Amino acid sequence: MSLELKTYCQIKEGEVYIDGELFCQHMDEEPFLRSIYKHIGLSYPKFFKMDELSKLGFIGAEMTLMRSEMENYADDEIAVVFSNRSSSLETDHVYYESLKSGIASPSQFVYTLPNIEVGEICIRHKLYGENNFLITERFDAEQLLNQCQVLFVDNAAKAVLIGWTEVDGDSHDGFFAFITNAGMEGFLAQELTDLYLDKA
Amino acid sequence: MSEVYVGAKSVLCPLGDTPSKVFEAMLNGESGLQAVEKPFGIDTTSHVGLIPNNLIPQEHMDSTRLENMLSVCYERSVSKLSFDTFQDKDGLVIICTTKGNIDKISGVNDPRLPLPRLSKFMQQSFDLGNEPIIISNACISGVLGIIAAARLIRAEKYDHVMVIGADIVSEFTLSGFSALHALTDGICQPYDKNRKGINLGEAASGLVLSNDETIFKGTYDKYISGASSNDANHISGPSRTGEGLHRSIERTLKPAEVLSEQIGYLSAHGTGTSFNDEMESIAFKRSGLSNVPVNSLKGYFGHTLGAAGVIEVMFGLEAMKRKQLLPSLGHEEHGVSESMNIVQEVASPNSEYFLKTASGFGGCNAAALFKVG
Repeated sequence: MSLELKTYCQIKEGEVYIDGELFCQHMDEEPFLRSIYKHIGLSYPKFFKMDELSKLGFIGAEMTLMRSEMENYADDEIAVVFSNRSSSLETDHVYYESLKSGIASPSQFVYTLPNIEVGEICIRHKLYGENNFLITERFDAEQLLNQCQVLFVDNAAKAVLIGWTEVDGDSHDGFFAFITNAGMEGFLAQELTDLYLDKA
Repeated sequence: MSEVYVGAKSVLCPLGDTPSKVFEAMLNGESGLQAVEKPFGIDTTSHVGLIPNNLIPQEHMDSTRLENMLSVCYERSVSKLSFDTFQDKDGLVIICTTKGNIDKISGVNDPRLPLPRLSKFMQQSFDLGNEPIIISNACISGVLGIIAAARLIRAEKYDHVMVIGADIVSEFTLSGFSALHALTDGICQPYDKNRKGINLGEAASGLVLSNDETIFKGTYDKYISGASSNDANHISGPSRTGEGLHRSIERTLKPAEVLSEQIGYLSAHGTGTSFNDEMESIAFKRSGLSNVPVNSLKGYFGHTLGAAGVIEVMFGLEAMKRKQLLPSLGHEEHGVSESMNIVQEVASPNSEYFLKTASGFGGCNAAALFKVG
């Protein structure tokens, strides 16, 4: 079975690339992700309640899915498989500080799970398909594509939105791709790694 | 596609450290949940499930409680195989955890805190042929790990996959569920009219899935199918219609060509919160499972988060093998809107199909089907 890369998006250090081309840059005073949100003319108030990891995943999914011809799929045929290195560690620290200051914040606690960003994406795009969240030391194209392939073999999905999302303070590292199994030509983990590293 | 076999059970939980000992304790109606004065400094009367320290030997000088738990389960599961296959390239270990070494968050930049450390620790400690995969997908992590393992085997990526689910009870998680007002007083009462919330418990549990049944020294069963589905509704509240859970059950049974009435036992998530249990009763009704014998094991060792799916599948398989379905501890008066066939006394299943379900934050749901005997 071969995989096809339909479209991909990279969000990194103040720049957004779509299929390798610069889409927009961080120009204004607004925080980076909020600035993209405005740039693409979104109106989704829940965005402002999200933690930074979910915001990154949300924007990345928005940019990728709008070029994925989603209408060709039933609402449970698109899986969302995300990964990162730090899980929800940024928000874990924010929550833990709230606890130590005497008032543990329940709304922050909810975001101390990495798959919450996958939940946010599924809510936004009404995706009822498969989910998974993997923790890997670095961007691991092989494991992500393995997950796509096994979902296709098991007939559990027809397409997969894969993502890598890392947030460290003001630094963002997001890579998103829409993978289908309709392609005739084989698509390799090495090619995906090269695309990721191109803007690294 | 190749068959997928499952066996080599291991466990570490508040009730003990072998599947048979813990099962015997549960048959006697024992709960591993205990009253602790201000557990981890948290002001709660909710009982907690803690593993006795003497059951968790120190693996290395600087290994953590969770890492020691993972090590115990790895070694015990491997000891039930005819050979340690995980040192070769055809074997893989999957670790399912929500928070890993979260007890290390109080230290300044403790290198043991980031989750990838668990993977490195296991690979180095046991000379594993592949870097373990970590799945961190809230409370369905364990069931998802089992499904992922079976799929990797069917797609011929690996021949043998060990799935270990593990999470500890900590100040971090206990305070968070307390802040959400999700902790019960005393012991949880899944599906009961007076249910008030969850208990947290810690556990580690291992299972090996393989395309080769001859690797198991002891008994083994068959994994049939599994699926996950998102509610696409809310990040911390379950869907009122049970949409995702219903869909994950449908997508598990349909490809297996197994009908809901053929299921002999349903091991549900049953956390004991008002919304979760209610949602499950609706999803089970929609899936035609209202008459299937069902229980929640949370009253025996609490909600073990990332370990829950593995430990509950493990004891589900054990119950099916022994033909002894365990009573759903804490259930007295039915308190969800749809009827359910809740196990009240030890009962024998009337078919060989066992279904496990789980649901979690992020709107995630999963189901997995097994054939026992």
